[in-house]
Amino acid sequence: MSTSVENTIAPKDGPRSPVIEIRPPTGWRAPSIRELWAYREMVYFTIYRDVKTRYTQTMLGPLWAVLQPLITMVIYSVIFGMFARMPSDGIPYPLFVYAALVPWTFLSTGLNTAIGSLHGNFTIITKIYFPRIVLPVQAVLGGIVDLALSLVILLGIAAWYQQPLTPRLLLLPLFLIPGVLAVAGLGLFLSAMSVQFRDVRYIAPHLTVMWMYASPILYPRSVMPAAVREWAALNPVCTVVEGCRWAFHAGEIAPWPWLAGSIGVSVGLFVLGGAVFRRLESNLVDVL
Amino acid sequence: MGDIALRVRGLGKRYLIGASLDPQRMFVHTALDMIRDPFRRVMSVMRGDATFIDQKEFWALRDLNFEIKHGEVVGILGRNGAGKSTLLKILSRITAPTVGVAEIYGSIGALLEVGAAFHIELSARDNIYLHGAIYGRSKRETDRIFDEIIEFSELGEFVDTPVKKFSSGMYSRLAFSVAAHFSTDILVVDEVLATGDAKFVKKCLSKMQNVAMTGRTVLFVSHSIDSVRRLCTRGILLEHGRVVADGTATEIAEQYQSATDDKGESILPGPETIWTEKDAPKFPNRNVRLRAVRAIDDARTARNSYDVTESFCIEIEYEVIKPGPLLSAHLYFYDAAGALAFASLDNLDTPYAGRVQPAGIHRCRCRVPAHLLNEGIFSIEYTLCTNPTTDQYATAPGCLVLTITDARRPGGVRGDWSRDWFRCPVRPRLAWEFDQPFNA
Repeated sequence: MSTSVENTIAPKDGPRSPVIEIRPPTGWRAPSIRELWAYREMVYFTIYRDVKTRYTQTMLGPLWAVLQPLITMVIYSVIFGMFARMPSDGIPYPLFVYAALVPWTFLSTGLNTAIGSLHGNFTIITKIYFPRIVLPVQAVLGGIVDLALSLVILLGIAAWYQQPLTPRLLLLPLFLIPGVLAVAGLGLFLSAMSVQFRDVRYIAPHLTVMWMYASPILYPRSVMPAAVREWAALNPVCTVVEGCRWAFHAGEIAPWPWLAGSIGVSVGLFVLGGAVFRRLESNLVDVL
Repeated sequence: MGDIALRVRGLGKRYLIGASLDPQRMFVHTALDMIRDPFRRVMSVMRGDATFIDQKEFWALRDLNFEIKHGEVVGILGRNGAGKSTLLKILSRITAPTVGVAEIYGSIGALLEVGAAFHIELSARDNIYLHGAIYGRSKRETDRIFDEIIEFSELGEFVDTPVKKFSSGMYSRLAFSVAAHFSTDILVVDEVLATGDAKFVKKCLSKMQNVAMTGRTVLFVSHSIDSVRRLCTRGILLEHGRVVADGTATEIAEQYQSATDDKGESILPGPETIWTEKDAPKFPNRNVRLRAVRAIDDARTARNSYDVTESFCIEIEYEVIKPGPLLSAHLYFYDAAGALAFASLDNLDTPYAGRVQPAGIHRCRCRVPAHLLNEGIFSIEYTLCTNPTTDQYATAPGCLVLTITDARRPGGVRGDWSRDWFRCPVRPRLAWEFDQPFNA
């Protein structure tokens, strides 16, 4: 928001300084982590709300969280694993693809929800003030419970294929961070733009598909042409996917400098997307 | 306390309004712009001042300056489009100003629609915490007032029941209790925007008056001069986005009532709206345009105030420039809270069925019977559309604003009931049948 919130405690006898200053938006600033932190409970409660209400009136309930990536995995395993005989770095293709689909489903669902988050919460936005950044961020993190459930299934599949379960698994959350940052950055950028240009909502699903095929989800990075193989490692989704496989002793991970580069890319996306969002958020209501 | 709660300096808000909304033309224009100078185009969108073809700027608020002290209850008056709602939106941080500063000393919050943030699948408990979180309260802060909210709303054992299973009474008790307990130092109330439940707003305001008035600052926007006079200590009159008067609530209410605009016309919406050929709402294909709408009594005099015991007509005029498919005229009656009270169509009583309306000017009247509307303010929307396709339509929301009063004339629905009548949009005369005769 354009408003700078300063919770200064003024001296008792002196003139008090304003608690809230409302000014026109000026300049470019990085997303305000402080505002987001101040409203962390809103993020928490809205995720809680969504999780609690998402599968009401479905027969299978939260089972859907697990079934969705599982069904996709079976389809891809049949088509790419059995028919097309896609190489998978020497590990069973179902495990190979499922280990990538779990984080990718989380990220892509998050991205798409984030893009629609401003339109979807129109009624609240026009009535109540809160830092608007909460909405896309909450949308990205919203699938975290589904992700946790899917990871449990992934553990089961890894055990089924007799992959060793080692302390590497503890690093798994770390690999997710660049993905979350990149998706949040893009989500912030695209959600703000989609208010101005509705076209964004139509092109977004195609962007997601393109991103999926550009990332080593259905195939290992080793089958990419040599010219792009290394550069592909800068894609934050690549890092997440390979990190997830690596944690389950499947596939390989890019060397450290490339990992650092990919983290840089995701931080950059988050800062840039957040800055655009911050610039546009205070006038969202006028355009919505 | 007596010190400043709110200071507004040089506040202004500019909107860009598009005259042409032909999407394809706009797309071509935007695309050409993008190709010619992509960088500038993107930057201007970023800055929020991108103009589209034929766009004009419009200052909803201009150079506002005032201060409000702690404990003042300020009514903001002004006719539609004077900038009242824009001001409240800026102060409650829904939108940002274009220029100027507003400084707020204390917490500020808007009292709006009942449970705007409620989710019906969640329990009362979850909703209270969710509401608190959206208003930026920590769980601990909400914990502290949680029991009070539940006690006040008399929900007791239903704390963990999804609110969709609540009766409307339970729901509004909960919403009221939540609104009353998550209170801020400065409260912003838009009676006009609080769609759905004017009674709720009234209840909150009277509670505030009784209990928490000490140090409570209230900014109150209303169409109703009466509520401003009754509830406020001070009034601010806005016109064309500027403050034109600032004084006691009574002074301002009187000034508003008698004020005229620069053309010498009353600034309250009149009993008649006549459109010129240029500004008339018309069909997108320009075959039909609205001409006029007026509220007239039996002597055919246009008036905008009627007693509950009076009948009157809404007279509409439109012009068919090119005869086309069947037309249907609609009148919508909205109550002061913005809720649709009822609607009426012309398809029953006119020489309507199966005919093409010939070119020329058409006029018809819709009679509103006595003993239908309750006392209060009603806003009328006049719409004309093709029937049954409705692909072409012209609409004029808020083209008339009527005040219905109750002078307690004999023969009214109230009979010998001497207390206030009930808050609802209508007050129909209904028949009661009795099985046992009264014995003297």
